[in-house]
Amino acid sequence: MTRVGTTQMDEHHDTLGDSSIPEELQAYLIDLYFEWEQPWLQVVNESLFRESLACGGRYCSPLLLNCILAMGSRYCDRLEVRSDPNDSNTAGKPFIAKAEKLIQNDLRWPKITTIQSLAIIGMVYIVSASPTVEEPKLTDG
Amino acid sequence: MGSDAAGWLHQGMANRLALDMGFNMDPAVLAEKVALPPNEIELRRQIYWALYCHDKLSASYTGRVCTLLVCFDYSLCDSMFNLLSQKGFSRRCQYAVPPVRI
Repeated sequence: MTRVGTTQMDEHHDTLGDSSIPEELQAYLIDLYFEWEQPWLQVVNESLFRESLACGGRYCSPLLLNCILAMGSRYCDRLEVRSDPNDSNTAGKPFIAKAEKLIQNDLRWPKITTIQSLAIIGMVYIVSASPTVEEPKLTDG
Repeated sequence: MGSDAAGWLHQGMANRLALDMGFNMDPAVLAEKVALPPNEIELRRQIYWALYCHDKLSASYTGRVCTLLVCFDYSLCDSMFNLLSQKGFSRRCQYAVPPVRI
């Protein structure tokens, strides 16, 4: 599944921490994730993740980080995590947009973090809750 | 694409990748082929069961069928194929240990 025209991501160029996000916000969103999402969707090992985030290990990747930030955003009231400040349902969308770009590259060389990221992204989509079509009515009236 | 469908699709990709990377396999069987550190074995087991439970929940939430259906004990399969290869059957037609990408 090769795509013509996509640029090869340079793993060394992508630092694990995203420099466009304030450190404080990143730490806050990660804490929110492990506080509220981790208890029931346990695809990430917190200690392995935090160690790898700090020192560039293999249990963290830019894709996984963005997915965790997106999910953390769903539990956050701050306006900077939304793509539309007036719509709270857009919380996390900027991170999802980044993650979707990173997925294509990750799928060429899948790792454990790829699986974790896909599971988290799936959950973010489900909780964003906008169905395409009206649900079929099973009963009359 | 609606959010439910997008979520289902991505979750399905996670499930397929997990099967491809052998997360459902008994680590004792894998240990013969490739050495994994204990924390990674534990993480793989954790991820597999998280995906399995999540698959069940999502199926009931969205009204779709489950995709991770069988938790198969490959250690049993392995000993059966060992027996067959003693009888002269080629191992190549058997299941291959999924390529474990680490």
